[in-house]
Amino acid sequence: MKTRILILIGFVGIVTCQVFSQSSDKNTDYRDAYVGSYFCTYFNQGVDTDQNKLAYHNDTITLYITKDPLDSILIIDIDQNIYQVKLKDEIIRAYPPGKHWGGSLSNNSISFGLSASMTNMCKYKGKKVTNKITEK
Amino acid sequence: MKVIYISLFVIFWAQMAKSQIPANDPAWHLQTGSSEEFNSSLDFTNKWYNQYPFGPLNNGAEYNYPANLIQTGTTLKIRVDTLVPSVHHSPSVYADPDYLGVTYVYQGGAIWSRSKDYHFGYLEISAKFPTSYYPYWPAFWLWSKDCSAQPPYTDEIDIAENGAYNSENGYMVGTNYHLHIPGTDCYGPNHSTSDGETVDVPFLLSSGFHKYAVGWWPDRLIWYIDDTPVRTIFDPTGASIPQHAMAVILNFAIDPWYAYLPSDWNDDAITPHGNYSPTFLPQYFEIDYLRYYKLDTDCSNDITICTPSSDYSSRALVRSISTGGGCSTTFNTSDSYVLRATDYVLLDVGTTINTDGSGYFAIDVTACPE
Repeated sequence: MKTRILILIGFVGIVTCQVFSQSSDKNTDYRDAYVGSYFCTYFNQGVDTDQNKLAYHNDTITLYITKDPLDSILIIDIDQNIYQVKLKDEIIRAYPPGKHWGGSLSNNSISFGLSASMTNMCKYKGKKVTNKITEK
Repeated sequence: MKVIYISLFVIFWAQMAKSQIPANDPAWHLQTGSSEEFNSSLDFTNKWYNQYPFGPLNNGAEYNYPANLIQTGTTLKIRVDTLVPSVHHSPSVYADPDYLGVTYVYQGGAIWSRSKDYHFGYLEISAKFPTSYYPYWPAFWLWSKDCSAQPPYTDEIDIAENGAYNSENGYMVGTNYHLHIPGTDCYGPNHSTSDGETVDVPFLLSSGFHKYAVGWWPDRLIWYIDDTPVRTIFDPTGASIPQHAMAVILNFAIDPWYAYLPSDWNDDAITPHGNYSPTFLPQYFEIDYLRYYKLDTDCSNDITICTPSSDYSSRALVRSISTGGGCSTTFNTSDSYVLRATDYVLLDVGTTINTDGSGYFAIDVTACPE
């Protein structure tokens, strides 16, 4: 009888641990999967005043994605310019709405477009290289 | 001896901001060569470009044509409409891969001053904005960029624009300004700051003509709507204020972030598109006038005022102003007097400010705009 009671207590304990474990998983911040450093190529369309025409430039750059500690916002840091976004179905939406940036973020890849002004537009495409913010 | 020594702009700030505008202060001088009443044919040879000086494209979703600049004889109407047949352009930042380009299905227009001599002062338009709708992007702005300068610069002041979030209810106007970020690549994507702010207005933008203006000094920017200050940026160092002469632009664009666009615009970096369909085209951004005012400056001169002049044109910005002292100096508010100096204004004993009318007396200590 004592053995059965011990087995029952053990079983209840295991089930309880499982429940709490699952509960803990549900509380995981979804943003954690997106935080990190992304190595990107960018394509820039801007006004070249020296030649009075639209000019195109390609280069590479590292973007950094962090979490806002106070809100469910992701922060995209490009050359120390900060862009606040929210994710919905892996679509990047500017936050607050109405800004000129957006894109998509999935499978450790980012596509991000940004209109700095009427005369400057850029898009970034790249892959996550680390889950950490290595350097800025 | 009782001396009132005033060395900063803080006195009567709110009243001063309102009183300084040309509508209330004849000390401003209209720069006719840099202004436009739109009563006669625009001079596209010497004064204006009839589209962007860099061609028919900017970063909007419209192809720009001079035919969309409609001169009515009293106003300029800039039209946005659908474009049939469409135009394909390559390369484009909006396409993926970029070299495939995109199809333009909208058209718009712009005038751009050939002169880049708009440098401080007061710029104002009277305009009727189009129906507020997310993809419609009419704008009145100043812009200048020089990557070969040392240091390179990119300056922009958006005096009044609509579209995107600013078109949410038809009662909002967008203001903004941009500056070069020192040390960044002048041609790069992240070379300029942005400090936008939406201003609520008590009228429907498309309901009629209203005045949109900016007062631009080396140490401040003040946006005005119908002569009322609605936003102020002040920086006594000038570091966060545009300092370079600029061109003035009036244009009407289509915002690619909100308009319905052909499938070749569906680059996943430019999502989410608003997909607002062009139900209400054509639309017009109508401008009654563009006026540019400047104050006289004599910034190396120190003056003493014994008897205030009624000649407004003599009220230049000088280095210092002293009143009273050996004189009995009386200012009447009915004269709407502003004392403007770069260093200080001294109201010494014997100075009287007589509140005899509905005008104002103001003091403005500011940097020299030259």
